Amino acid sequence: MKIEILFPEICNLYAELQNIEYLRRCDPSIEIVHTDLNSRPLFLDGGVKLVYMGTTTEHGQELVIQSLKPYRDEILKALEDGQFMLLTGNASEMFGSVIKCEDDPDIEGLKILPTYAVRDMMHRYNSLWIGQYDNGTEKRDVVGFKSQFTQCYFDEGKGFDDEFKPLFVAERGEGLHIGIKEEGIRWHNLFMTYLLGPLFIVNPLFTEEFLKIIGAERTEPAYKEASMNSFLKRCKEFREPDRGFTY
Amino acid sequence: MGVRFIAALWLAKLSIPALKITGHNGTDFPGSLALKICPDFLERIGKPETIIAVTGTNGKTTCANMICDAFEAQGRKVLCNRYGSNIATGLSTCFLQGATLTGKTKYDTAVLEIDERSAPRIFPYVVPQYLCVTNLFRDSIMRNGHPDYIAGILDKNIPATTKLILNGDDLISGRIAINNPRAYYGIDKLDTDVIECENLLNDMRICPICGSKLVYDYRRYHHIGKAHCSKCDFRSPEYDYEGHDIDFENRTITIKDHGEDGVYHISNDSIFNIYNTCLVVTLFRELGVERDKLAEVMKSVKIPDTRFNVKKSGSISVVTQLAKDKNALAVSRATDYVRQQPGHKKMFLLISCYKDEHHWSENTCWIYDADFEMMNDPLMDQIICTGPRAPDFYMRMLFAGIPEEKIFFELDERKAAREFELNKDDTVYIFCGIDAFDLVDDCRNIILKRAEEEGL
Repeated sequence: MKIEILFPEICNLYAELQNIEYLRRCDPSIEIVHTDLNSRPLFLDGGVKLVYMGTTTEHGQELVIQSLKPYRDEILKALEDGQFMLLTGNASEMFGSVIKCEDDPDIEGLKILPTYAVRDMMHRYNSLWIGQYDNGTEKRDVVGFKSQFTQCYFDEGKGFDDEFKPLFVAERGEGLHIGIKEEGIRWHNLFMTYLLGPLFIVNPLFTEEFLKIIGAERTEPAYKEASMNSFLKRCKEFREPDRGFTY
Repeated sequence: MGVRFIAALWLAKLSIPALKITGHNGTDFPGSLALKICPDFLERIGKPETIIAVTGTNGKTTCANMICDAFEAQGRKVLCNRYGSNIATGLSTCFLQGATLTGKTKYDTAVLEIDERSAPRIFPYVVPQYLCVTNLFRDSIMRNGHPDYIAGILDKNIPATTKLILNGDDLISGRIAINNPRAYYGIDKLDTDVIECENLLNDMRICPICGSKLVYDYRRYHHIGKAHCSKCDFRSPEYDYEGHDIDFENRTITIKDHGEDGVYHISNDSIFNIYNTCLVVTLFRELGVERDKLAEVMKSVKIPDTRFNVKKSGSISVVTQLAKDKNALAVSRATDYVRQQPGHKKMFLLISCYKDEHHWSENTCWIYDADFEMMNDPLMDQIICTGPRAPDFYMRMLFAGIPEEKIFFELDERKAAREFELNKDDTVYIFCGIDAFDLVDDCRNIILKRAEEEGL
């Protein structure tokens, strides 16, 4: 199974590339390929099971949009045809309609997702997060962190529905933006979330689910006992009523 | 001079002895009080004619202290915020301590460590003649986001007249406030330099001008080194102060400026700290201190004990190594340093973000940005994962490929110090953050006592 990491030279903040390394530790048959800003994404020509992109800087977001713009229609078609893609942190913002900036000109996105982001560089939003992932038969705990300058909203007239489903639902912490509980989006096989951790490493149960979804040969989380110990301790801590949740 | 300012000054000054009596030395309360009463206190309070500021992600406390020591070695008393914080309240405390009852300063020079994020609240009122920038790396994800963000804050706020003392080997901090006057220091190619990055943190991979791939002529660590763009004419700056010929045995570095060499003492043999020496030498040469005199002065400049120290009992050495939690770079520099030390060693982790632990939990991403893979070394006999974040560190060590049998896990730090396997000739490196000094003392003492009691 091939996983393509888009633009690791700039989309590498907050140790997010370790998400994919962790998947490889779970299933050693996974092959990781890197695509740089000046190259055509490999998945557009087939043979890639999962495409991954992580958080980048604000300038990096502009470079990513510039790089992917020529392929916008092909990316949209690949996603509509069921291409697996995971976007963590602010990576999904480039796929939305626009990034609205407080002090700078707005940045037009790829308009693949019906969402927009509002960026406020003077107010960083930090939060612990605990919620659940619903796999259709049961709900499983998910933990993580949020640390961002943006809040994400659906475009006017759009929202969560049968097509755009929430990836997770918060128990404590906020969703895509302050005031809602729905965090992340699943649209076809595109998964996006602002949760950091790195997401897979701090969530062995969700990792197992995700590996099953993408059809990995092996789905047991690597270092399962250690990972579960850490995960269960964090779940307990994040449910403590006097634990501060936003910063 | 307004009534509000005088009231703020006097009340804040009065609070200092009150705090001393109640054992609260070194807090920001006086400055905080002054700013509450008089919001433009920092603008109004008298300031020394020469202000030297130090900022950057890592090394700013060390450098600010070294600069103060160097001034003192020249017989000059300077105002500094060594015992206070590096934000607006800490600076206000510092200035009011150095002021008369009418608010006039008693000093002609100040050395101020400044938190890089506090620039917007400080630089409108405090204009340094020199701003020394150690480096810019990733820091706390919650506070600092990423180095580009911090560089942007500094760009927007550094006063236009301030001369910058910059690390020419750091392509991030080296490019801030590009129109300001500047002097670059750096260290010429070393035998230990590499081309490909060995570190997880590598934040300067593309040209800041055209976005093409950067080619490193040599790389010291992370993005520190010499590079040029594969397409346009962007390249690392030329040094004004060029460090070369580091003599580790005799603990000296030669630094060339204006065509002539000076030989200066280095108080610590890590490259990271040698950069700090280069910064201090550059500043004093810019201030006009002669090379020979400066060479003498540098002999008395030391790294503070809380940053790095070694204590021995019998054949056991305990090295306390500041490796700030939440800061992957600081930990990576420490792991790299330990890796290079000879002999068998053990690593005792006290980097559980203790200050946050009571009401909060630090974003753990930084643990996976830090180079713990460097501890996967045959000479690393044991890693002690302890404290509230021990399960996370245990997981991280496995991820780094460290064999399970080498990892000692115990949530209670003092119990861990009592129970991990301690053998003759062991060197134990305690990695600690800035909020765990008491705990560090306790654990270190337990280990040293064990050495004595167990006859090691």
